[in-house]
Amino acid sequence: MKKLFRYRPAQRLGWICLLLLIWQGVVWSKRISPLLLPAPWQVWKAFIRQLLDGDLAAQIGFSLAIILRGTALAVAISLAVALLSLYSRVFASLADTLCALAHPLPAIALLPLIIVWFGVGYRAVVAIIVHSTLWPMLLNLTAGLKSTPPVYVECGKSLCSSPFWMLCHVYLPSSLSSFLAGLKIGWARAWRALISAEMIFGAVASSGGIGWFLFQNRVMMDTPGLFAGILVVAVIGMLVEEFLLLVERRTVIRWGMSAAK
Amino acid sequence: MRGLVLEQIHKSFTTEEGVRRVLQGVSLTVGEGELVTLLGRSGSGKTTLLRIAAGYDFPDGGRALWNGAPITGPSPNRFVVVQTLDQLFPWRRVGSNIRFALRTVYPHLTKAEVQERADYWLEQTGLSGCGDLWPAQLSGGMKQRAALARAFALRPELLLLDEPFGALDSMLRRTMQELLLNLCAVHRCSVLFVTHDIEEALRLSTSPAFLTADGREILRLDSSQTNPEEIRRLLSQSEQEVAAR
Repeated sequence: MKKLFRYRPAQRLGWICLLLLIWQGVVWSKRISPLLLPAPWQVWKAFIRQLLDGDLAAQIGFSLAIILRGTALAVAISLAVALLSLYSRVFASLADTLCALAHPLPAIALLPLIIVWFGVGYRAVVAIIVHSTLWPMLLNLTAGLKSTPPVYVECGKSLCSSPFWMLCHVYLPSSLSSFLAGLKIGWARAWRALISAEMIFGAVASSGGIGWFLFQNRVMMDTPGLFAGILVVAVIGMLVEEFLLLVERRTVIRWGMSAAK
Repeated sequence: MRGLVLEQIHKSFTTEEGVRRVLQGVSLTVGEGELVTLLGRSGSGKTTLLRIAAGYDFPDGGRALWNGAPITGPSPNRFVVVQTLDQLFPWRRVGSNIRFALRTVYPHLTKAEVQERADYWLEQTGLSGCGDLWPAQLSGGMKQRAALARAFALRPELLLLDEPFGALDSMLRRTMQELLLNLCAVHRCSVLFVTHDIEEALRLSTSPAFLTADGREILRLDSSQTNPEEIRRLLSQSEQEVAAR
């Protein structure tokens, strides 16, 4: 039992169960209207109902697909820019300035402009995700490439004189830990920005995504459904973060290139 | 001439405090199959000289020749092992580090040959069975042995060793020196070994070279001298003489 509790997922599960119990206790005390705080099992029922409808799953799929697109685009752009900065000082200082200007800018602040440029459709949401992910990725990746230990660079140069080889076998692997750090921040930002954007834009194309789903449930005063949606957002966020942590454990932490967690 | 020839090397670095002249016209040769140990105080420019031989730095004046041709950049034929314990690529396992270096330098080798050579050098350095570990899992001494294994596996004509055992404790340092001497005796290659440890220099070669602190001259010590204390005295004496000039 003691061993089990040292295991982090077990700890999490334990706390979640406890919180659910407290929640159920509050509902039983009948101090709060069930319209405002539904019982956990009602939320569960709403979750199953909407899952069986196929509606919730479709919305999750839509949101994840859109975020994957946006993030992939941001990763590609930040890689290209970071690599150019590695070889050109002029470009590096330009990228640095752009980062300093754009990084503190919340995606929501850009919303009016994005609507003017991209409308309120799919492309606008992708633009918001790219903006949220690109800058932290670029900052981290540039810093990672720049801080490649000279000993690896020199050893690499002794083995092969090709710059492309150096990039693939020295610079990129050496900055993987910064890349993953950037991806984590980028993901966290993109996920939050996506949900807000979906709520504001409403139904995009045929589907609205999980944010729109939440908003709709609020409009219909379907509180169990609303809770189910919020929990889904939290759980997906947690799962992706766990996945990124797993990737880190299998790479940079094992290589001793990052502080072990 | 085959081997390394450094002639009248001048090298200075621009720092915030101004120009620092490190090397001021020193010459050094390492002949084929020769093991030269280069002694000097810290800051005297030993490492700079080695880096010029490696092709990482270029002299401001003088000539750096390898087998008669000017050194234009790094080459696997003049492979470097440094003091830093983390010189293997941490994202590759120990064996994979050696195999990867071999595949890069000798693309025509078959997979079996690469495997065989890597295993051979792991065994020679006492690391059989460590090939599947990550560099981060090795101790300091093992890391340096693995770095030596990688260097030897590449069969360079010249090994450039910059205090490779400097970060190890004195017991381990001895073992490593013996290992290096054994490996050099069997697999003939030229070695330039930089150190500030007189005992180490004497153990590895009979006539160490000494770079004076002002970076002007390299003194070759007489091979009859084996007492470190005596050598230390001689060194400071000749250094004072050089400084007085």
